[in-house]
Amino acid sequence: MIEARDVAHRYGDVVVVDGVDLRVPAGGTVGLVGPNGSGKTTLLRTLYGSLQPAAGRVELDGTDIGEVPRKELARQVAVVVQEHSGDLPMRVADLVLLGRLPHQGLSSRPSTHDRDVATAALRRVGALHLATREYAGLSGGEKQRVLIARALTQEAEHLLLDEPTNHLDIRYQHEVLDLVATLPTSVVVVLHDLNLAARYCDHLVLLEAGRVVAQGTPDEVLVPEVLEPVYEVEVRRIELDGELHLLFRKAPTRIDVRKSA
Amino acid sequence: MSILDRAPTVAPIPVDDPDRDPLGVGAQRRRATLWVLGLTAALLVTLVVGVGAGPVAVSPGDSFRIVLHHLTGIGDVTWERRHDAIVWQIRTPRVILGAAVGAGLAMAGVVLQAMVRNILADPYVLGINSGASCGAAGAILFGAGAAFGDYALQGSAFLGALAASALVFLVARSAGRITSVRLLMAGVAIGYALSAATSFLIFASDSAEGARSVMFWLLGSLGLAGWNGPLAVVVVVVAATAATLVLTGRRLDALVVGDETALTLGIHPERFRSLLLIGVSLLVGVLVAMAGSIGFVGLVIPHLARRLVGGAHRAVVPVAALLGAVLLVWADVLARTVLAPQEIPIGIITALVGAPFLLLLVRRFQAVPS
Repeated sequence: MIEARDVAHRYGDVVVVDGVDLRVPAGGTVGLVGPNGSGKTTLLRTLYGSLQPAAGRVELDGTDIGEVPRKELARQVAVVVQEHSGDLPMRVADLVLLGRLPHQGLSSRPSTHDRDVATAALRRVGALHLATREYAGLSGGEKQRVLIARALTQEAEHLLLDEPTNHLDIRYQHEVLDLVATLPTSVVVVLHDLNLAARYCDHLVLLEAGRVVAQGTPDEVLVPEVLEPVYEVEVRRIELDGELHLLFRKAPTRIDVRKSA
Repeated sequence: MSILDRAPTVAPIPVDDPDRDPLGVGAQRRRATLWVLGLTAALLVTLVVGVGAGPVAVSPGDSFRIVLHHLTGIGDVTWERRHDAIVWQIRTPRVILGAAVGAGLAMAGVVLQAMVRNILADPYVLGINSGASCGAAGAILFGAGAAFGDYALQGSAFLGALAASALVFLVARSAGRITSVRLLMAGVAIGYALSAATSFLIFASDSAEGARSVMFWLLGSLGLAGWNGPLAVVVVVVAATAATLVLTGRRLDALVVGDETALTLGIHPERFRSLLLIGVSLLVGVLVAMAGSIGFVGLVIPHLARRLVGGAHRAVVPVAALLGAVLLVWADVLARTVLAPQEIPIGIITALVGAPFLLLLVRRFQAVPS
């Protein structure tokens, strides 16, 4: 279980995360939501030990995450971040097999078992047919699935994802999150789209300016009274076929340009 | 417990699966092995031809017999004494130096391109060669490095290279972190500054002959080769680099993907990059000190290697090293024979051969959809 206790982080004097408490139960899917610059990605990075919190602590099964050796951490926590520039070539299979690095010695090349795990992971995300392709030549949805396969290849208990639906069309947004939500691992996912968060997460943490404004089930967090002051938009909530949907409209602003002209 | 163990939808790969290698790993390994074997054969042929070629031509058969005789004592001396001296004393160390420098430059290019994730990086992007040039100019024009005795030029150039790398390292390092961009900026800035210093040294000296020697050295040459300590240093450093890089190839792959990804795979990207930087600085320093700034090999060969065997560094490193070795020995053969008996700087040949390669790459690069 990953647990954040009173975690704070700042870049210089700017406080980006402030006093966040968070528990990621085994098998749960936790969504981090909030406006741009609310500290979602920074909080996520403290959860996988990329950033050292300025205050508070992040624990992995009761141990301070800063004290867990990197390689051991990589066997327990897998992370999906988008960063490959694509200038240098990389085959999909090689990229996915990198997920076995935490399980290997300094030099060992992938064993038959490593290859089986990577094959199973690619099959799991429906991307096995892409194995021999160049990563840079894939579509956005394919890339996302390959990155998730790489994370699965780590065979970690926890999967952390930073905006995995970025640049994806609606079909792939659902495909990717559907895949993530059905994994038996515990998941922390940073999401922009609140409707996706409503559908695929069982626990939401709403951040504003680095602080937790609300947390709970989507049903508890995604209510107009909570969301409107945070996003400064008008929110309507409707239920269709038992599912929660949010509609947004620009909030009336104090200065109406048309009237003053 | 593994995720995959718990995932009910994951079926083990059936034994009778018609596609036994869905990841293409086996095919990739076979391909890399074939290239390594083929290029090793090509290198052996190249070495023999390289030893024979020159103003005084010695047949490949005789060259081979002479080298074999010196190495193993096998065979009776049926060749001219003069050929023996030319082949064994002059050309063999030169061809070995060429192969080692070519392999070293190619590997340095591979590592630097991976380190800064930029396909235009080459062994000289960190300004190391400018430091070496400065040291070499000091030695040629003002007798610097006299403490190194017979190897004043190499010693002084190597010290220059080390000083330049240390400077780049210190400037690029901030708050214990070295990022790709800072590394590139520091390297370019310090490279320019040291080039200016070299030019100033040439300008300040009134020896026209010395200026010509510096110029020649700047363009690269294998003329300093001989059966001596510096040759042994180059060969050992290049061999050690090759072994280390093949072993750490997959970590390089992870670094290419990104620092954050490398971190989440259990690698300390900062620490790893620092170690690579120290290793590459030493390697390039040694190479430049012995052979000057031979351009284009470290830029073009890595791309060629990646085109042949893909992006995985375990395969790219040996293939690039062999390609670099073969190319540089041939370039040196041309440098020695085109205007024989006069020798032209090898850097002119590598640039002439390398530039069209790079242009080809530009066209291919545009054609790939991003």
